[in-house]
Amino acid sequence: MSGYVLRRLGEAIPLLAIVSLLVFALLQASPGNPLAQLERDPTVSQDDIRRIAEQRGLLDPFPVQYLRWAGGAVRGDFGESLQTGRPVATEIAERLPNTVVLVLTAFAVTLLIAIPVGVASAVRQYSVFDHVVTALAFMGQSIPIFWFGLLLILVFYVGLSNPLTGGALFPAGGMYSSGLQADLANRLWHLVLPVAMLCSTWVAWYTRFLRASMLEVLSQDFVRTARAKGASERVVIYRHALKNGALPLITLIGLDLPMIFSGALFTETIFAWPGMGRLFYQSALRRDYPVLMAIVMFTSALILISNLLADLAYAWFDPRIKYT
Amino acid sequence: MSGADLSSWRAALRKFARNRLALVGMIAFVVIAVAVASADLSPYDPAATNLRARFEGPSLQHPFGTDDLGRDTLTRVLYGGRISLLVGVLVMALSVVVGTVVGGLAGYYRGAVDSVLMRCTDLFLSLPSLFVLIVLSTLLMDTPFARAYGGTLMIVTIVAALSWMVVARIVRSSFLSIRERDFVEAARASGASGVRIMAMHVLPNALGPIFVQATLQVAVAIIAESGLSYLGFGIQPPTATWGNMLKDAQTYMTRYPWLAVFPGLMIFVTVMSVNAIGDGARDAFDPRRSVSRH
Repeated sequence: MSGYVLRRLGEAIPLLAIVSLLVFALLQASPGNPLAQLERDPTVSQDDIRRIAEQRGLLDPFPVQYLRWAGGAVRGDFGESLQTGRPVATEIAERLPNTVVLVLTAFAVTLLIAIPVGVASAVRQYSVFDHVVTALAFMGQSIPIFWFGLLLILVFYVGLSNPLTGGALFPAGGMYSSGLQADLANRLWHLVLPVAMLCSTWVAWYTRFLRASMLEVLSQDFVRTARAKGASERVVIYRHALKNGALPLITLIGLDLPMIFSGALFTETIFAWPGMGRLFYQSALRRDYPVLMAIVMFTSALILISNLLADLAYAWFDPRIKYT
Repeated sequence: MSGADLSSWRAALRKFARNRLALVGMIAFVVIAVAVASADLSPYDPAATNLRARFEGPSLQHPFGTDDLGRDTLTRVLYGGRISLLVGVLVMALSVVVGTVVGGLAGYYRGAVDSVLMRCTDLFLSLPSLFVLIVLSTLLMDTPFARAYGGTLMIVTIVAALSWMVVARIVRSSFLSIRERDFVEAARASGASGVRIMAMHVLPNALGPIFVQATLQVAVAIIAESGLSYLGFGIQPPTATWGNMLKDAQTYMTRYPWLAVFPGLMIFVTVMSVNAIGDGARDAFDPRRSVSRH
């Protein structure tokens, strides 16, 4: 097992290094180099610019510059934002918790809906319930989430109003009403629509997946054995079948978590949620390349790590799998 | 192709035709394609502004209403659909070709070729595609490449560059198993070259899974293009696409909701019909895998 972990790490680290090389090359190719501001300043002579460039090592050969940048990046130093002049790491660190709250809530909601619905759909295959679920799931996986977000706003913010206050049923932007920063209920109220938008596609995918997986498991011998020994239907389904049926879900979760971060880009943009996705969107509009590249690096690392964790978790939960 | 392959294709086709959802998807897709292709029949010019007819609700003259400049939304949706479908089909074609070549070479030659090509595939798979698409689009903005054909060329290229990997993996695993079969051995023994064996004997037997993946690629590409255009990093106005129409609609959406409803509905219905075709094709070709992933 530890050999397997080491080998997988040995694959992931070079990949990350190549990604970082690509990212750095793109960063170098991007307009808006760190000296652009000085170049526009008429009081700074060409000689001064040359001297400053030399001091900062901007005239060094590409490999030297890359190694210096990579050395910084490993320690969390991604340079400064062109827009604010603050360290990129600080900019990201400020927004990341907001994204994590959004993504994890969406993820929890996804599993809380998809697992029971997927199981019930499989257990009552071809019932009306199953047909409705299958149809909804099929639609859910085809709906573009940015459009779904706009529809949610149209229905729950523009269309429906709260009968008690007369205001909108759900807010269409921000994390809390002004002055109510510490109010948990207010924060949850603001989470409803963004989470609904973010988990729509995933609820659909996971429900379909779990239904298919459970159908396969329910027809296997050990399930019949469990029934034959007199276990209640509940125990058969949840203790015996679900344990096996949900196993492939672990891999999926590992593969999909980073993709949910991508979905957060749309959600945060539409709902003015001050997270990493919105930071990325705004940085792209302003062509703030150091921020963009740091987020790309961060997400790539996240993808590689969660793929690895997914494989390890699979091996951990399924003792039949031996990794060497 | 041998007779056995032909009959397996016929069986798959029969199975596909019995799948109601897939047929409905096929019909819906054809209807959308025909509608989009006949956009010229519309009495309105997609770019003609009419300030006396701004924000008109859906009516007989304007079934989808008009926008902030008085342009007919239905006409713009149809012209926009040309771009969306074109991008979908071109990205599919490009990514299927690249994925088939990469996956085919890896699966057929195995060994070092396989290692190198699959590490490349892993590299691309470890990139957060939406983020990288936005970065590339920002970097290329204002270059002649990005302006060619209203940005369509650039979008097709970058979306395809980030979506061939799944095809490569699927083709590789098909090639790995097909290359061990007796008829391939026979071809090898008769002295056929590697390229000839791959093209004439291995590839035809891998077309089923490739076709299934190709349909899904169309859906993925349409979503990617409209998502990018919606954020403002895709195809730029005045060229209408479903994505950038949604972006424009956002500003006026609370008062004129139809502006946001129709372009999105078109994306939704198109993607749904393509997914239905893909699902049907997968059931027809490979009944064991009931749910696949993009």
